[in-house]
Amino acid sequence: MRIDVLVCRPDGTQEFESREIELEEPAPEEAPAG
Amino acid sequence: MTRTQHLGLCRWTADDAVSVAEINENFTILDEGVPESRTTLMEVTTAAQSAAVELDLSSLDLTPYRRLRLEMSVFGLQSSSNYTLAKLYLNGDTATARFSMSSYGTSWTSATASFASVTPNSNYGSLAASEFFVHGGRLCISTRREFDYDSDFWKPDTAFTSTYTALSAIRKISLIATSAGYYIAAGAKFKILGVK
Repeated sequence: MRIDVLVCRPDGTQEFESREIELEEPAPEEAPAG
Repeated sequence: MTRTQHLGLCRWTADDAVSVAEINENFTILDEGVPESRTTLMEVTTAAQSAAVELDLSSLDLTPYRRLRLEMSVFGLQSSSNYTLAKLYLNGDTATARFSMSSYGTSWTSATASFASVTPNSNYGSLAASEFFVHGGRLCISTRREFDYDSDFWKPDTAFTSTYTALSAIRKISLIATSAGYYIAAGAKFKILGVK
């Protein structure tokens, strides 16, 4: 899907760039004891 | 005594409101305590809500450093419990290396939530730190429990076997929420340090 990525550079500038990124549905993971 | 307690870092519970001032205080404490061999190469406080943040390192000269250190404090990731929340990509969306971060046992539903924990058995806290280095032609990631955050915070993914011959091959680091509806909110702070 296409999302806006906030690109940050060492000179302090920030800007959104639209990218096509394959996102994954999160799957439940086993929680550690405690 | 944990390192967090020893340094006197700010810690928060799930019910605390987290302020940027407290985040900055933690970074200041760390700056004063770090060895001289660490050099801050980049420091970013994000000013907008986003599902993905990319740190563009292409203008940095990484050749003098043995390790690249990423310190971060990110707030506002939304998720149910026990899900992989976000993934860290090196060198872009094509994921020449990829790591996952996970939440265990706590629902992060408010803007005070952080995915780094300085409190055992809690997912609310301040800072996470990871270091990248090249060993034997492979990129490695260190997840030392320097800030006693949850174990298995970063999980190597299949692309972990990517071949790197030099640290300078890392051109950008991206943090991307794993599913639509998740985002990395304003208040996130990232620091990139070179370690000699």
